[in-house]
Parts: sequence; structure tokens; C-alpha cells
Amino acid sequence: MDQEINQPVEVMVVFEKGRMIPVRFRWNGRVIKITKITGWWRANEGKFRIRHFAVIDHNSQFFQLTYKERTAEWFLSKIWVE
Amino acid sequence: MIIRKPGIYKLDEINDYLASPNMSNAQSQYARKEPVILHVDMDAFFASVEQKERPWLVGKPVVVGGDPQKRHGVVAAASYAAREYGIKAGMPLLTAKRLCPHAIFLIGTDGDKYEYVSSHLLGIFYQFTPQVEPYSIDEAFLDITGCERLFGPPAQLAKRLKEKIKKQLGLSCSVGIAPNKLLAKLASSLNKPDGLTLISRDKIKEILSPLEVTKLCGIGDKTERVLSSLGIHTLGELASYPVEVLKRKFGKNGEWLHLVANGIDCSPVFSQIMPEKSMGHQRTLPEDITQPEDINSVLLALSSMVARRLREKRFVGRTITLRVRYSDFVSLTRSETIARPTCSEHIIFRVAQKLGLGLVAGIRRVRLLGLSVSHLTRDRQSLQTSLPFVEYIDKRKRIYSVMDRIRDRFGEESIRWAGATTFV
Repeated sequence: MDQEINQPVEVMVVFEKGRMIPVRFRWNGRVIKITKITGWWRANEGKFRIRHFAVIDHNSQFFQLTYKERTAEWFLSKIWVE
Repeated sequence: MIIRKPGIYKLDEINDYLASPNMSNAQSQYARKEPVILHVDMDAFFASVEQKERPWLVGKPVVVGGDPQKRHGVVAAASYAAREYGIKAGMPLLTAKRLCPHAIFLIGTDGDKYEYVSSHLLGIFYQFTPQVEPYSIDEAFLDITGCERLFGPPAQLAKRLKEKIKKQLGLSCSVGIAPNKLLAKLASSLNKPDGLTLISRDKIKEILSPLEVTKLCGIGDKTERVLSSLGIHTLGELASYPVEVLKRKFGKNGEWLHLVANGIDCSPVFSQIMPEKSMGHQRTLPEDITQPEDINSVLLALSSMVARRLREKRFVGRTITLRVRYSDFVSLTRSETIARPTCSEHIIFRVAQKLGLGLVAGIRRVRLLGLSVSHLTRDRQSLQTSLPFVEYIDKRKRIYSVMDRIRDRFGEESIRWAGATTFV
């Protein structure tokens, strides 16, 4: 099931063909390499956008990353726990 | 005679022209063809979106539901594996857990995500036809009459549409093709999931006859019970039942039942956005309330939300309706029409408060409150109310304007009236 985390994280991003693609992030001192983006969507916070990315790593562990345009901050929103 | 330019012609001349070989050819090519309607229904939409994000959930019983802490504890969608256990949308989550304890429950998921996917879906539909009528977040009707030249026969178009959705969104859908919306919707439901069903005009009777009456959109449990008491169980039985008896039993709906049972539906695909008739918001409260100050706090928040929406869309409205649902699930509504249309939360709140006196002043516990404004007209009074001598109104308008600008920039929850509850 999903577990809410909502912790700020550092994310390395690639910009490609006008798209922002997170490639790895640091959480709890560990660098997690993203192997696949399985979903993405965005929402509005006033005139600013909030971008969400559902991603998995090489162990098929699921993470949901959120980028808030207003503060230019990344958050780890959710992880999957068995 | 050849009619080449606009002018006055005798009726005989026009008839001759219409009967001429030239016109016959033209008619066969360009005259209005039989409508071809597609109904696209996403398969277990919410659950499929979650499964796509978490690939290891594919094929497993997955239930997407509202947050029980916010008392939205019902099933929003169930994967097909979960449906095998009898789990259906709208069912309480507790019942779903009882039916399939090992199902994976995804609770309180992000509504923005589904809306975003739905908007992409709509974009794909518009690549095939501009005649698209969204029916819900995961369903739409497409009028593809005359699209053969671009995309080939309807079945081929539907196949391409399904492939495009699969490729771009990773989701499957079921498509129904028929001469009208009613039959297209029925067709999409006959072969789920990932189905493609065509009902041609010559097969309507054959397909409809053996089906249960509830298979058709618009015939629910209540109607089914009455029909059952008349000995009608299938659409074939309904189609051959005397329409006069149906009219006596169901009033106007009797004739409608007769028509739909025969597969007749003339409703067009509404591709235009319909003008809004009312605007409102309602909230199931985290816990039942009885105290007037708690009720007022919710009403103020709702008034503010409704007024903000009115202003955003440049509408004003005259009729204010309050809806209350008590803890025993009994619902009541009360309305009041005011003299001058408004988009002011203070006026809406004052009327709502007055309406609430009669509905929520008792000892009954309130579970849900809703507020809407109808009899909408375009806001043409902003000039009038901003005249300098209407100082009081002008001051409020300025406050509303500042609040709206703050919300535009920082989000809806960034500012609220003191005393108004928050729904986050």
C-alpha cells in the first residue's frame, strides 16, 4: 500500500524536448536511480503548477515525486510498502 | 434545367433538378449519411491508471476508494480481478474488504491525476472528430459520421483509436459503434474489457430482444421493479408491450421506454459546452455536526467557494439553494430567490443562513451541506455597483477582488474568511 512521506528531496533532472524528466534522487542519504517513469500529471496551485511523477527504481520499488513550481522544491510524496 | 446560382425557381423546376442524375450522384456522395456514433468507455479507469503506475498490480484485485476519514468510504473503481469477488463501484469499502480481504486498497488517491489523464484522452478523441461529447471522466460519445474517407470504416477507426489510447496512455478501453448514442453505449458494455462491438441497423432487434431491461442506460432498479410487476423482463418483451399501457403506468416516460426498447434514440452528440445553469459545492463533513456555529462556519466556506466560481466565470445568480443531508441519510433542500442577482459571498451566506434556520436548527445531526446558486445571468452590473456613491458595496467588491487575485496566484486555500471552515 501507499505510504505518505512528504519529505523534501534532491532530484537530478534532465530537460529533453521540452519535458522535465527526473533521473535520480537522494533520500535518506541514499541515491536512487529512476529506471522508469510510470505516470505523470500536474495540478495547479494558483498560477503555479505542481508536477507529479510516479517512478520506479531497478528493484521495481515505487516512489511518487512532486515538484512545486512556486518554491522550486522537490518532495518525495509517497512510497509503496508491502 | 440546371440550377447554378441562387434565384427564384418554380417548385416543379426544383423537383426536376432534385430528380436529375447529377443531383442523385451528388446526394449519394454528399447528402447526410446515416449517423455513426462511437461510445468509448475506459476499462476500470481509476484502477487501471493505478495499475499502470505500479505494474506489479496488473491482474491483481485492486480497489480504488475515497478516504474513510473524510467519510468518502466507498469504492470508486475496482479492477476486473476485484470484480470477480463481487466488488462494484459505489459499494462501501467495508463491504468490499469483507468480499475480498486480500485485495489491494488504494485509498484517497489524487483526483487531479485522473482529470489529467482524462484531458489527454479527450485530446486523442479530437484527433479523430471534432464532434465529441464527454459523458463522464472516463466516457465519451464521438460522432464519426462521414469520417470514412479519412480513417476508413467505423470499425477500423475504432481500432486505431483503441491502439492510440493504449500506446499513449497505456490504458485499455471498450468501444461501441451504433447508429445512435443509446445503442453505442449499450454496445460498449456488451464486450468488456478491451472490447469492440458494432450494432448495425439490421441487427438491432436481434441483439436487444434477449437482453435484460436494465442493460439499457436510463432503466434503473426502480423502473425494473415496476416492469417486472407487468411481466416484462427483457427488452424484447418491453418493445412489444402496448405503448398505451406503458404511458398509463409511467406517464411521459412510457413512450420513452417503448422507443428505447426498440433501439430508437434521436439525441445528438453535444459537442458544444452547454451553458451553465447553476453553480454549487457540497461537502460531506468529517464528522456529524449540530451546533449552529459549526454549521455557519461550513456555510460561510461554501458561500465563499460558490461566489468565487461565479465571479471567475463572470456570472451572477438569483436563486440560492441549500441542501442538507442528515446522519440518517435523509436529504432536504430549501431555496430562496432574491430580488437582485449576486456574486457576493456575504449575500449568499446570509440567505443560506436563513434557509438553514429551518433545516438545521433541530437536534438532527448534519452529515452533508451543499450550496448552489441558479438563475444565472452574465454579470453586467459591475459598472453599476462600482459607482462612487455605492461606497459600502464598492469596498466589499475591492475585498473580493483582492482575495480572488491572491487565490489566483497562490491557490484556493491561500486565503479564507475568519470563521470559515477549511475542507483540506
